Amino acid sequence: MNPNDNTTYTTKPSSETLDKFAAELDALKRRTFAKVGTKDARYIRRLIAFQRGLDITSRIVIALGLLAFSGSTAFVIACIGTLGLASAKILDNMEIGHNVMHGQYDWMNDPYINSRKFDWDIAADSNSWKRYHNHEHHTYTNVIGKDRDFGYGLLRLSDDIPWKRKNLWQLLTYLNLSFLFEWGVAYHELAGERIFFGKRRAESSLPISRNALRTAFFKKAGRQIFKDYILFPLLFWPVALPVLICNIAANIIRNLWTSSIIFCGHFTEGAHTFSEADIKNESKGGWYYRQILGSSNIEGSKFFHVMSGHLSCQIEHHLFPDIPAPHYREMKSHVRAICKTHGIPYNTGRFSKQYFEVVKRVLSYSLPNNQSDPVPMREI
Amino acid sequence: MNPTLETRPKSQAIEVLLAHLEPVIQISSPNFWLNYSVYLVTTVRQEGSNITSYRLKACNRFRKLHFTPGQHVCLAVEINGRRLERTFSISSSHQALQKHGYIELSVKTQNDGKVTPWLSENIKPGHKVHLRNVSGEFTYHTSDEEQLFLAAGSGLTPILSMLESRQTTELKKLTLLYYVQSKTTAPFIDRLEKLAGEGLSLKIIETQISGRLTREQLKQHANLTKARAAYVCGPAGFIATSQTILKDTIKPERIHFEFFGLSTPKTNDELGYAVEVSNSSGKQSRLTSTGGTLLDELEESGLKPLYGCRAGICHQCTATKLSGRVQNILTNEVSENGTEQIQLCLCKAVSDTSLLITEREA
Repeated sequence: MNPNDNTTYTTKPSSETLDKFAAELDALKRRTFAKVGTKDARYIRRLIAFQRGLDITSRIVIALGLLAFSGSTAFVIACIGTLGLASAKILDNMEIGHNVMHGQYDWMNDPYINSRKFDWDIAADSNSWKRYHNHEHHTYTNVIGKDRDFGYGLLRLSDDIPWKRKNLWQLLTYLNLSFLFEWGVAYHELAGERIFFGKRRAESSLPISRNALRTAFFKKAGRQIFKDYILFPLLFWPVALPVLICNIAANIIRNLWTSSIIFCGHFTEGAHTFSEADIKNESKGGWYYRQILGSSNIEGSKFFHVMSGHLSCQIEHHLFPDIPAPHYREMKSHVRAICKTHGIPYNTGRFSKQYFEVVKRVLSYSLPNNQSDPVPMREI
Repeated sequence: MNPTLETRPKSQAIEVLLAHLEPVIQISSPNFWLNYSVYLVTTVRQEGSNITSYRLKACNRFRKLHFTPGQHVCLAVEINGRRLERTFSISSSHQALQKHGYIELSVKTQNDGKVTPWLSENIKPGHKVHLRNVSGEFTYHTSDEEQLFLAAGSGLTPILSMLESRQTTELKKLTLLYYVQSKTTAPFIDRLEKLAGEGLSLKIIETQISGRLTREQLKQHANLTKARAAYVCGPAGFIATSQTILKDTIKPERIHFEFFGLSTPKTNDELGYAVEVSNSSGKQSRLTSTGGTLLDELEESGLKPLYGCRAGICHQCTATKLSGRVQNILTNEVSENGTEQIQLCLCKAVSDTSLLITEREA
């Protein structure tokens, strides 16, 4: 199957097709939910235990390596520890935090492993993230003007967004965003609400006061800075500086990985955008259809899927955001088959291919009115 | 009310840290559940046709259980990965705990339930269960005067604990009317007869023969003018009838009662269901649910629950249902009675319900 099925497809299916399509996806959802149980509960608890262990072991490895050895041995051990710490953070943020906070494990009735209580090892306040991610981004995926995740207000990734001079160097902006991704995620809602800069929005659905939003931001950011950049370095005082550097490096590795995976999920060449008019009176099938057109998958091993929090199955995640993510792997082939019967595109490919497309897209929209679009970017 | 089974109050920071590490601790001690106590099942006994008694001993002998006879406790089990909690009355006496270190829970099997049939099939001596939160206001008040007890079916369990915890001198002033379908299948008869031998005035009324509770019947079996306080436990209808009769001679504040049994979805929802709501800062309110989604109805009543997409996608409106049954409007699935996380935008009440919600702050 040609991974870029979407290049051959331009018109929106009829509403009857979409209804049938929705019924088949709903049936798949029901079948999968029926399988959810003990195995999933054990999986998430074991994974959390492993992540906690990896986190603390890596921190100790870094410190001991630096304290007990010198020269290149110390450097190699510190690098291994840093990779371990970065992996622990990636697991915490993606396969655990992102998925638990989506409510994928709320059915367990666990007092802590649920979307309301869980907190993650990242600068972003979990409540703020849940507000804009679960609601805005997942309901209005790739709707220009509604889904602020589309380009994060920094990048122009579609001709629907007016060109500005700053878009000329947006590849650099993108690289910056990747390096500092956790701060982008943390600041996202505050930027939208113009908490520090800009004109206050006329309409806001912010359910807490602006002051509370600001306080939550500083509280969480402060706690993360204290933990990674003050507490742990000072705990291993004689090697405080190299420990600090390792912690910064681990956070950056995590930032680069998470942002790359996420960009591949929505900003590949084939990922469509929509206007607010497109989503007026949208049917269930229409919603499913839009989720598929706006998302793209990445092929990979089980390890790769886990390390990406199954956001490599971005399409399945957007169709069924609250099904425990490990089930996306088995759902993929079914979703793809359903799409094929109804002639609906399904965008998937290797990581390198998808990432190359993202960079290409960032570059191509750096210039005003890009006419050389390989794919129609808007569904009418 | 004193939640005495809770562990010592922890500071929030320690609770957060323990919750963070709970899955790690569970690798070596799978029974470690933060804020729960582990109990070993020592005996399982069948009482009558559909009640099972579980005798439980604390696994951690440093963690002392305290309870006042008549109180209930939350029992939690994990069924297919889901943690399900139900509240059961303690049916054993205070002395049983003091002298022998056990409590007993007597559980009526609800055939359409998820937890009680599972318990009766799966819990065997040697298994471990988790308890938390001993609570309840339905407790015995010592008095020199005559007191009346009315129990229907499994509603006897808290009263049995109260009576077995009394001294013989006190028992002589107490009267128990026990309503059962038929004496041959009724549970706890031997224990009651032992109490009767010690001075309790016991009347077992078989509804098969004598019919349900009426004023004449009550007068015939008990000296209503002498009784100064009453304790009633049974289904809602039983409590309502008893209250109407008893309030002629007993002050309303001295009629203690506890509702028993699974609240069932009513088919006639014209009158609506009572929904009790508390928010995270402890503010309480009530409303009547008439078939809309809980999110809409809470908003109509002037509350401001947190919400997002209003379509079941974003989980922003997730709230804790403390008790009651709700129905998912997409799947039509009806929930169980116990504590659960629910999405307010997808649920409507199908019984009286109690909720803990998070409100918008602005």
